[in-house]
Amino acid sequence: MATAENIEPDPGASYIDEIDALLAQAYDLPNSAAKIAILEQAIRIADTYNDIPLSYKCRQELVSAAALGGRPELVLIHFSWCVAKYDESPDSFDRDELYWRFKWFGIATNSFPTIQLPQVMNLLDDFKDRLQKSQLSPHPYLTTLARVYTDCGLLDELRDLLPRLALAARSHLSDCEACIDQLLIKMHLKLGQEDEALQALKELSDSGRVCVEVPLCSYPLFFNVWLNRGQSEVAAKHHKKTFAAICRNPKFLVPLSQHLEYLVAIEDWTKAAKAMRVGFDHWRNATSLRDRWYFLNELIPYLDKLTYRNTEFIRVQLPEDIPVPTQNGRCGVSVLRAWASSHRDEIGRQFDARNGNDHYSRRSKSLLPSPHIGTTEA
Amino acid sequence: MRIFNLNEKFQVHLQGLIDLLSNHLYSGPEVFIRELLQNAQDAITARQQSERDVEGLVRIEVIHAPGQMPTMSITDNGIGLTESEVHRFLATIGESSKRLQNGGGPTDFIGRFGVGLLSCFMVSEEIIVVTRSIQGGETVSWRGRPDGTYSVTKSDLEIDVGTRVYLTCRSGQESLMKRETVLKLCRFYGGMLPHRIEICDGEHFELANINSVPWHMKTNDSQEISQRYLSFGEEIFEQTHLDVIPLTAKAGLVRGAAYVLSHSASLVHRPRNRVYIKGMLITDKDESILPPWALFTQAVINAEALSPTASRDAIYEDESLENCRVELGVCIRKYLINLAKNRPEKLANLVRVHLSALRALAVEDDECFETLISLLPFETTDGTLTIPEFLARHSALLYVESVDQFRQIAPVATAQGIGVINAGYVHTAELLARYGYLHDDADVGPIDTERFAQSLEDLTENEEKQSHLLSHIASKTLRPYRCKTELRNFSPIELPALYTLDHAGQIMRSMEQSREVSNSLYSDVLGSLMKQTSIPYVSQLLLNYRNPLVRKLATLQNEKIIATSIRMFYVQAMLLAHQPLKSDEMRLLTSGMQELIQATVDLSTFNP
Repeated sequence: MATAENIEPDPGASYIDEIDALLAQAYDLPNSAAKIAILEQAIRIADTYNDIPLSYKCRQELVSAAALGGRPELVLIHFSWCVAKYDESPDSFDRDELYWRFKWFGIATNSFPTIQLPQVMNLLDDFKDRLQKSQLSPHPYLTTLARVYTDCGLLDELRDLLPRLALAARSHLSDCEACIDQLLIKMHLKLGQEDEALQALKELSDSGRVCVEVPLCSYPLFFNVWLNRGQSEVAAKHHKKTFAAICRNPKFLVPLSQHLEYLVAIEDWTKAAKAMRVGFDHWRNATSLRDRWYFLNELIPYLDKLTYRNTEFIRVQLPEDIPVPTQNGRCGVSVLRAWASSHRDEIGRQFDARNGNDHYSRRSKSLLPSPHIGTTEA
Repeated sequence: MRIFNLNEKFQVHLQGLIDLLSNHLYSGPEVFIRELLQNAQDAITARQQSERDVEGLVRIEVIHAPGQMPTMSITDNGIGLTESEVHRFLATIGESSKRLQNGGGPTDFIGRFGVGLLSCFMVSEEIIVVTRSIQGGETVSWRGRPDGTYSVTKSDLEIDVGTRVYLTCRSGQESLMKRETVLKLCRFYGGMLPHRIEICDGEHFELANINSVPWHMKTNDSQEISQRYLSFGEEIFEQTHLDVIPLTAKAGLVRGAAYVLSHSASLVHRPRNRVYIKGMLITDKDESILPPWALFTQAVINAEALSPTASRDAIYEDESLENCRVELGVCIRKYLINLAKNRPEKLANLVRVHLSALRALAVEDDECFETLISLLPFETTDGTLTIPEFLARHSALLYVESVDQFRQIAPVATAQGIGVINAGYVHTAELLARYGYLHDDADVGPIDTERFAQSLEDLTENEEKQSHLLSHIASKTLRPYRCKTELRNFSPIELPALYTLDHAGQIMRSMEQSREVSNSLYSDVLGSLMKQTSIPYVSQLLLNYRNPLVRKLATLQNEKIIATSIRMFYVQAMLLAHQPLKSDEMRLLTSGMQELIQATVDLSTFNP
């Protein structure tokens, strides 16, 4: 069985054999940095030999691994190349395979504030036009648009979109039903429709519909809702059910942040420390600035609580690109907090400037001072 | 005005319901055996609640009369049914005798949902149930047909307390009523049931129960137990295993064993576990009972207190299952830790076979990390070594995070005596980073291009003076390609230049490549993305001052020749690093070759 260990190529093998061996190894790996590295290697070999079909195939695999592994910049880079090659020679490539990934591409554009909103909308319009030309339902385009509006806090546009989305027929290019259910839940929550969101969650749960993300990433959306409604046992049950799985994939940095928020609210400091560590472990491979904003936004209240508990230092392994000094595996809580706050605010400012609203800055969190509780080191 | 009756009842189309069950709920018609065994088991359990000394027996008889469709009977000595219970439970879909009246869940019964008997319609033209209740009364016969009709009569058959189900085979399902098939299915689904299951064929009968389930063995002979565990695993999974880990969990009241696979496990395609609930097989395709990192094992377990799903082919995901999973994980971790203490050679063999899975485990669990990290092998410039072996040779644990990067720098690093670890495999970089985090005194870190350049020998003051013009022209020539140049002394001397690229640089190159081919819509988006990750230099070219050609170049004053040569070194180094050329680099290659050829031709014209 191919493993990630057997990658020294046979000197007598052709470049095609080498790429096939790399693809076989990639197939056997979870969506991870190692899988992405293997696919990048395969792409470079294919490009060296100017083998467009093979390069296209490898890039499609990489787009999937990147989209499901938390690397939106790679989705943008390699999907653009695939679109260009498809447009040059549409008969040479599978249309539906490309169009399926358009949804991921659309979502990926929303991960970086330097990509302007008109650019995002133009790209989505391109997707819409392609679907129309192929006489396909606009449903995949509309769901992608809904995700963008939800993320950007464009509530009026979201309200206007809901009826259009309800009328559009699903197609084979639409996300799975579970994902659509989860999208509707997010839309309801964004519009402040908690009861409708809870109802939609119940329907999703009763339907038994599941996929990689659902309901794993659905329940964390409601921790706050349940706590505010006095249903702490429901929140506890779903936290316990989903926490371990969320910790395993860097793509789930946002749900992880929701768990951190919950753990801070119930004052489970041990698990909150774990959530923080996992978040930083994922940081390198979760390159979406949007996702990082969410993580920092929940990290700050946690660090504030530690400060109020007179915790000065914490044990944490920080990624290399975080300019906070550590010594003997520890860093200062206030130093980390200062960096996190400044970085979060900067990302938030960029997104708000791009989106033309205060969606991010309005949700930025920090805690008011509270009485001294005790001295611990987390 | 029309008056609506508010007390209507739902009409059930039985044939439609059977179709629904057979095509959407049950995995195949063979599950009828499972359903019958379940009902028999539950009936016996119910009887034993008041008559503890009754020994349960299930007897299945298959009759093949010439010229007729096969028939089958399954008889149990369970609690039986009275006439009113027959009307109530056999004729009402969803009504199960196994649910408590207050709606609570039973703890001893396997079946709960009251649809199991219907599965027999997948294989039988009609179902006849003859039953005599422990409560007394006459023998009752119930005959049900797939069109939804049924009859209940008093039966003349003299039977003991219990129930007998008769089936007449449907056309096309004859294979399911062959004796060998019935035996196989009974063993498969009910082999662990505590009651005797006999398959009769005329005068002969055979026992379907699995002999001596190892966790029920009553012996202190550890070798005998171990042997039995291993042979049991071989029977169940039809393969041999490296070792066995007995499993127990209070949550779910689980007993069982996890078998260490004798071949390397995939990180994606998990081994399947076999799960029984109360001795009845629920699934042989389970992937949820063990923690995700236990990829190197496959388990067979029996749970007395976990719940199946409605279709009874999977375990219901609830808190009990989760707690059970945690406890089983503890069993496996304890096994590894004990191996490390008492059987290190066995653990070393396990590491050899299951390296990927154990890396995953070490990343996930701190205790296992400490146990395993010194044993895990890594690919290094000095061959395959463990961390202690590597640190015995080098003072720092330097690593690169892609296999390609390792290939690029390994020959040069080796020639310099610099040790580098290939962290391009799944979890390797995380393990090394964690090692550095936990061992403050260790110098551990990824080696970037800057750091690698610093590790190579500087030029002497004299060499710097001699190469000043070369250095200046090299920087100027490659700046448009965002390539930083440096002169260093390194081995092997045959290598004139080394091209290195950081992770960020690789992304920038890929972006530029995509921009080249994209239309303006996509190209603009990539341009905007580039603003997010701006770096001054994308790559680095290290010119080797020990290389004779580079040294010669340093003596020249002809700037044009120097620039052309630098461009050619750049392209050559990129190709050696398996970097595809962009269009401007292709043009560089073409023009550079032409210039050098021209220069050679001019020289030979001058010196014929």
